[in-house]
Amino acid sequence: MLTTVISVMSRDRVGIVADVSARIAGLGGDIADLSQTTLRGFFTLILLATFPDGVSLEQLRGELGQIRDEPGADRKLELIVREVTEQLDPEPDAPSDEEYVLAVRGPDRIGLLADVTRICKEHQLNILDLSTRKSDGQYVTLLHVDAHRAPLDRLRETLVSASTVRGFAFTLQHNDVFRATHEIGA
Amino acid sequence: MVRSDQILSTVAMIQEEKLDVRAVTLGISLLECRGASPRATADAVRARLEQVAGRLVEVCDAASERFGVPITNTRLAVTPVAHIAAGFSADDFVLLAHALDDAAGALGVDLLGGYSANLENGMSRAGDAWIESLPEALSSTQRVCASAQVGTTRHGLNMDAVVRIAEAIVRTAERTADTGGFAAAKFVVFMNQPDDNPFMAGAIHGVGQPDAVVNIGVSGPGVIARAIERRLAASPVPRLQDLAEEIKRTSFRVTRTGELIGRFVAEQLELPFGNVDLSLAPTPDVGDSVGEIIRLLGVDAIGAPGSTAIVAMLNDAVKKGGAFASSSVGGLSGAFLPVCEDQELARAAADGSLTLEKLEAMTAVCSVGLDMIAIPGDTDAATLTGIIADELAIGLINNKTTAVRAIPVPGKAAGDYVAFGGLFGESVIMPVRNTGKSSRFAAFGGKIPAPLHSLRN
Repeated sequence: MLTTVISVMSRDRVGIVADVSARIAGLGGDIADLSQTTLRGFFTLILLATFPDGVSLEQLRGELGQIRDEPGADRKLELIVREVTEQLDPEPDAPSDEEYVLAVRGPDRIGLLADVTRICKEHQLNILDLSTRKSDGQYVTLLHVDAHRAPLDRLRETLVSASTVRGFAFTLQHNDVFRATHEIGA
Repeated sequence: MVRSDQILSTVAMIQEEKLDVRAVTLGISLLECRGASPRATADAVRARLEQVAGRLVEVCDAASERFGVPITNTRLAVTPVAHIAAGFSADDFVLLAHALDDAAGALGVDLLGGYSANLENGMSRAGDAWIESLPEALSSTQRVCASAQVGTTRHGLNMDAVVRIAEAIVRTAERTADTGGFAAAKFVVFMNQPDDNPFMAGAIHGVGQPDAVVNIGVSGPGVIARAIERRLAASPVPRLQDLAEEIKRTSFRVTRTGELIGRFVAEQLELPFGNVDLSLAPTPDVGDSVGEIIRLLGVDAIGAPGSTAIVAMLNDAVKKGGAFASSSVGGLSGAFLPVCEDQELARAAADGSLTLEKLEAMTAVCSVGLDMIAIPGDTDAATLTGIIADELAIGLINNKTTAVRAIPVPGKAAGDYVAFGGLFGESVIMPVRNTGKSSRFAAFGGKIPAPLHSLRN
């Protein structure tokens, strides 16, 4: 058996996931898990698939490498295929009790996201999800973080001084507040 | 992750629209504290409060930080003291008031409610002593709030109590003439008083409650006002029921925040969670006004025709949204109209659009009553008796809570100005019409009997 992690990036068009999964099925592959995102005209996905004995990485790269970025175009999609030999992390079940949303608002400038994510790294925060949007001429970044490894009071202190020095505003709130106000049965 | 636009709307509710938990009120029973003497009772009361509520402020600070929602006040509510001080003299009652005040100070809470008595079906010796103690108790303490239930739909309206309490209010205000009669702002008289309301000055820990309980008062008039504005600006043009729906949904979100925080605080203190009171309680801050909501819903001046209907719709929509949001809704749970504490209500009172009579009408359809009304210092006690009786009769017949918190401001007349400061706010002195004409009514005393529909069995 060959267990692989496969990542794809291309222009967004109808049918990419269909093309990818058809070729995987054609090789006898079983897709265990898949996640995809689109961003302003571009598409990316990451998936885990296991193939029967006899299928090789080269074969897989060859098959998937034929998929075109746009129908009829020459350019192919960007492709990464890697064998998975290590133990996979368990499926995430219930949310941890220490999930927070860090909302950062600041003028659109080089390095804002780098500053904030560096602070997350220094404080052992795992970023579970991240999204950005422009709102009233400001750049808003929402980070959904798991804070169970980090003492939060130190994180807050760091954010307070960084926000003053680097010119952004932030809020750091337990995820339950957002679930309570927008989910029934939360 | 919850959708990013939803996250941003919750953040905006808190950061910009002034959503907060207005009060976390820990209700504590004092029934075990009666000792062999007033001094022993006062000591036991103080010890009990400090033991049960020792971590309240610290836990509330942690909750506030964790969820990013301000908790504006931490408070205590106790068993109405007349129940544990029956047999005490008025001076002994005052001793108890000081013990409560000292405990509240030591614990770092801003107000403590429950310097109270049940007088709904007649006077008692304990009630007499308690009323006699009121002026001294309220003027010599900082944090103690007092209240009385002088009637219920079940029993009728105890006019003997109303007369005596009106006199006590006047005396209490006179004792604190240098602060505009402020001591009277810490006292409310009720018909059908809820025994689990987290808001002051009427919070008590009723006799049927468990030993200790955590009650939450949320608030968010600003959130509701901004939601209405957004709906008015969106298409299609809303009709009244569409606005009611918008209020209901927003009230849901506001109440959910309170429920979340209340349960966390209760869990951390290892105490039962009582209820969420989802009232719209304004503060003097700009953007935190119930008056503004009334204006947005269609009247150019608060008090203009339409105002009562608007308040009726608002009060009902708030309850509906909140009821779905919490497993346990209680207290007053409606729209408050405290004139001094609401910038726009105070302004409407000052320019004459909002009169005492119109307020009385509006209170028939909202949740509290004539609240934080500053009246001329020379208002005679019989007139004050009549004002109280009128407001409480609305509650008596309609089987709801109504109350009066009126402050006769010594030395000031209608049109003058008084400022109490902080959450207690400021306002013009409202004119009281037809003064001096209610003495014969007040002189009768006795009781207004319970209405026919109290015979429910």
